[in-house]
Amino acid sequence: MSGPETERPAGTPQVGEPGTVAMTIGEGVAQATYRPDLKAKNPKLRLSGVCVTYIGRDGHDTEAVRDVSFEIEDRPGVGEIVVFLGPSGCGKSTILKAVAGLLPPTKGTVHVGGELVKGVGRDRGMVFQAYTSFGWLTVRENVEYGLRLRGVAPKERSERADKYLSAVGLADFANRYPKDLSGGMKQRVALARTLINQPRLVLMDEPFGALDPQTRWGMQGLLLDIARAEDNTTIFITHDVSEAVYLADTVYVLSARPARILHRVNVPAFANREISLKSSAEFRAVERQLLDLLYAPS
Amino acid sequence: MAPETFGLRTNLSQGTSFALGLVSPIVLFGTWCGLTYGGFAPPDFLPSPTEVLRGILQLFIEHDLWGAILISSRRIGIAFLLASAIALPLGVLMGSFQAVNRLFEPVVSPLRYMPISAFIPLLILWFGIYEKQKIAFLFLGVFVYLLPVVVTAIRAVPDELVQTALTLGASKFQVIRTVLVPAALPEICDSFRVMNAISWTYVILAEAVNPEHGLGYMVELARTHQKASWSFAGLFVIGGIGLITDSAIRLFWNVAFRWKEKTT
Repeated sequence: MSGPETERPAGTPQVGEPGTVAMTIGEGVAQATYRPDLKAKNPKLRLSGVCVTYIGRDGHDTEAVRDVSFEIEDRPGVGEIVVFLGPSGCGKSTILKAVAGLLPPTKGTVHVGGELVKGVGRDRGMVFQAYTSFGWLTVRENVEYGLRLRGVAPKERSERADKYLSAVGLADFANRYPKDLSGGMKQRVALARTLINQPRLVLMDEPFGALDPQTRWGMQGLLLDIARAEDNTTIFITHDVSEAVYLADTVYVLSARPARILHRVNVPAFANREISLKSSAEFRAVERQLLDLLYAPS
Repeated sequence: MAPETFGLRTNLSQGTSFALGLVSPIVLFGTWCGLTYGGFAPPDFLPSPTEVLRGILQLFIEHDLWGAILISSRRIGIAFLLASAIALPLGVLMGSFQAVNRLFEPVVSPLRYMPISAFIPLLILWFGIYEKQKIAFLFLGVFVYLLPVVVTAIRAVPDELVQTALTLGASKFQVIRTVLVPAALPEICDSFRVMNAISWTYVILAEAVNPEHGLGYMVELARTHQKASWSFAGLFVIGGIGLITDSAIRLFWNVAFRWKEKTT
């Protein structure tokens, strides 16, 4: 994959800046410090006062998201990764589904590139924790799926699939069926299948949650490489603090259900993202900070 | 250490598995031979294997058993096609849209609990005693079984597959055509094996009304002639057909759904 090496945004936290938290180690924060501050001129994504209550399988109303507002500024060529960190089952996925247009907000609005989101669209691709490879299609056919839906000619389809298959390291498995793939490879298929549509936003719902630690690290590295090369913004949901620190430019810390944004933390731009980073003091400090925020009594 | 033969949920070697599978047929066949050739049972009560074989040949040569098989197969085939033509699209819609499901479910689901044979008098009233009645009966038997299978299979497709397709730009009907149906198809086809078995049972019931042709007629012939050997012949032939068609469906499944793990 080609693309200019871009500088990641420097996110040195500053005390007193709206919506940020000072990186003071070991200091528990009891109350929400996040104050929505929607004033970007040209936001790629803006959620304003989004509440989601949906009808569950049992027919009862479930309040999943309460008054969530935030925005992601459009910074072309950055390949920003925004992480939503929160306890399991807190409603993080629901925020993502509201952005995807899979669940309409009960209150509030979602705007993508200035346009009101009214339903699903392929400018917002989604990758789930559950393996979603279409088992009856080969790896190549899976990756080409979105292009085939809109009638792209076979030759162009296959050329573009080749590009993304090699980007995720699956070129040799193009003609296999998903049943022959490992969990990590299935998630690579899902990633390639989403990226080939060139979405403006890639929405990832704990995509590496079911993978073993080693595969997980590999996939995190792959995601960072791809985010740098592609000009899309990734919203990544996880409950794994270390994963959040490793991947994120910005972390939003969420409350238990119904999900609200409690804190926003700008992760400093690390000099490199080698695996060894994870055991460095610098990395550990940010991890510690997020843990304190996540488990602070509130 | 060799695996324990009666270990809880342990797998068996091919040889052991094959040998164990031979035990019950050999015991059954041996007992049968002993009782009949040993003179413990009179031939009009329990015919010997030789008698049954002779009965099969008699039915084939003198009573056109082959024609009867074709007639019964044809009836099953037509009923199968009709039932699929309605149950497949209806089931796909009911499985895909909760609203459609609620529209039809209150009428369709009690059908499953009704004894199908109790419909015979009604079907005679509505369709007469000839071909139409027999096909209608088989249709009903297959339909009430197939419809809930299709609905369940479609509903069992994980939400994430549907949501993935939607975010990749698929319309509702593209999701149904390119995700829900292909994902549910193996299970639906697998249910054809059970329906095949049901059909060969019901066909005898259907053909017991005004028996003129078909396998039901052969069974009826055995009854009127009081020939136990013909009854056995009929059972063996129908059982054989069941086994052959079942293997055919399984073979088709394994070829068509190579992408899935193999079924047993």
